[in-house]
Amino acid sequence: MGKYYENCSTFAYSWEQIVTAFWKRYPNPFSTHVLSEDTLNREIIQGNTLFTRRILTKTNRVPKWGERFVKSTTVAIVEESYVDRKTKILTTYTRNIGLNRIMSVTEKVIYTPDPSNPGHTVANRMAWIDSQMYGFRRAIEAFGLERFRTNSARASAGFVHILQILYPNYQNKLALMSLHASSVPSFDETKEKFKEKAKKAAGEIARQSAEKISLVSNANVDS
Amino acid sequence: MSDSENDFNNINGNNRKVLDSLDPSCNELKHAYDTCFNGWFDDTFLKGEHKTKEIPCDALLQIYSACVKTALKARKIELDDLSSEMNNNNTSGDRNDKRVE
Repeated sequence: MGKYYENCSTFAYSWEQIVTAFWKRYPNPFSTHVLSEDTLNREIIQGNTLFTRRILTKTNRVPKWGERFVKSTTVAIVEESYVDRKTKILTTYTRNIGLNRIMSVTEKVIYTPDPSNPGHTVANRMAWIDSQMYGFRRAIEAFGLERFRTNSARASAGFVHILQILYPNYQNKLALMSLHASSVPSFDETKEKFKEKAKKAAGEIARQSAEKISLVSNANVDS
Repeated sequence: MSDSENDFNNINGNNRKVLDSLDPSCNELKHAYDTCFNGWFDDTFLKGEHKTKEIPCDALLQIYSACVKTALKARKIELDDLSSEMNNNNTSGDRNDKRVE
């Protein structure tokens, strides 16, 4: 099962500017929860594609309803990216490592030049959120989706912040041109219903968990 | 603008703010490597001027990533865990994610 989410945004910067800034996007005031970043592997594949694997750590914020039982920790994220210089496609994959049984978030983002304006770049963001916690996975997944929505907007704001500093004279009046979001399959629960379910789930976790449970609330690097 | 915002904005030039390594003992290596890589990425790779598969910063990366891997081990972060699924990628960047239904 799990939840799927996607959105699309346009940056008023060229693809080259985007990929240059990609390596420099932390720290920024919108991502203060990102604590460290390290490169593990990097190689040129197929002549024109740069593959990179990095590991990032961030603080693991927990939802209000989880505070009484979830230990606040840091969570590790793996980010893999492919910069294809020839086709001008930057593809990034991020996912949390460890704690996947509780909640796993996998994100894929594809950055390509805007077909209608080569000076702009389109970012297609997709996320898969799932939990294997029997009994309350739906609630955890719903929480994860809600969190991801908010966080992907913050991630874009942080990226734009860095772009504006790196390229102060570029056409950045409308740095983030548009943002379209959709969530598939349809997210039919109302917010209130969702909160109730989440609370119920929290009680359930608190009762059942003798083991240390840390909710991966921030599983995505960019979130 | 607050002081912290000013800090973040100090990104150009030598006093650019950057994130540290997850382990302080790897910081020096990390920053040396990042500086090397960013220069190569902007001036050589993006311009298509790389002639071989070698990246000039590879030797630095080897020492630096060894430091990080030791730090991960000490923190009981399993490298096997992180590479198992992602290593199955095809390398063209258009992996079909297993999670997509």
